[in-house]
Amino acid sequence: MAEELEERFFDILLRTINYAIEFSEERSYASLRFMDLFSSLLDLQPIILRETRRDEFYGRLREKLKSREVMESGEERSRFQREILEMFIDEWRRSLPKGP
Amino acid sequence: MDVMDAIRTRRSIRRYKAGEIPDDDIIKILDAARWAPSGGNRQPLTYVYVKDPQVLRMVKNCSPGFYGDAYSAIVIGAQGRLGYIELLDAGFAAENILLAAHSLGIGSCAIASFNRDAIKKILNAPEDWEPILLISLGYPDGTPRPPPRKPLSEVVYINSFGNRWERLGG
Repeated sequence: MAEELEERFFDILLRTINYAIEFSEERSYASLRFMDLFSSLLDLQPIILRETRRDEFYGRLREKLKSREVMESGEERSRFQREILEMFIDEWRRSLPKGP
Repeated sequence: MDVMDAIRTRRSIRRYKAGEIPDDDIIKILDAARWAPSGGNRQPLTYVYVKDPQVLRMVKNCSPGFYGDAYSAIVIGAQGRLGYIELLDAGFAAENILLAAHSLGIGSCAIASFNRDAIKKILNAPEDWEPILLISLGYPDGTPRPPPRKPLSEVVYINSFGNRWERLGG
């Protein structure tokens, strides 16, 4: 159960950052709104998922998000979102069982 | 299954039921893709078949247009600059995949909404390889109703643009 919640939380966060990236080219605020949602979900982690093997990863993500507020250009925001996405893929790869 | 029947009855499947697709069926489907027309017979496409649940999960997470618990997916891509030919070839190959899958009782859905950089990284693809289209695969959980299509009389002209073809009515 706990492990399922842990995996589902990881998946939902990752999907949310992908939605933000999907809308990054649009002139609307959709991408920013998804980033807000991403940030809010991440803030929930210590409350709903206290014991997780990804605690350190989520901590690094929260630190990373602190630099979000000073961004002005869309290009900068887009690069920032891609960096977050890469953090997820690296974390996923790190947690894969090692092959023979 | 007759080709015209396959064309008329194929649907985009976004709900799948559990069930393993035999590798032999997937190989038939990929062979159908291989036989699709290719501009100048250049055959620029390569395919990554994703069936590892861990990899599939990440592909899905990075593809907002990916719906349903598919058993597997095919990623169609090409190396180098993506031009008109590569995109057309991918369309031809994708249609062969969709029809071949349907003829084998396997549901599928073409997905264009995905994060290219993420998919490349997840698949360990070379820097100059670009994914063009994803296709989810699995056994359909129900058959969607046919979507409305414009009548032929609305989309076909004869001999010159805008000239209605009487045989088509409308």
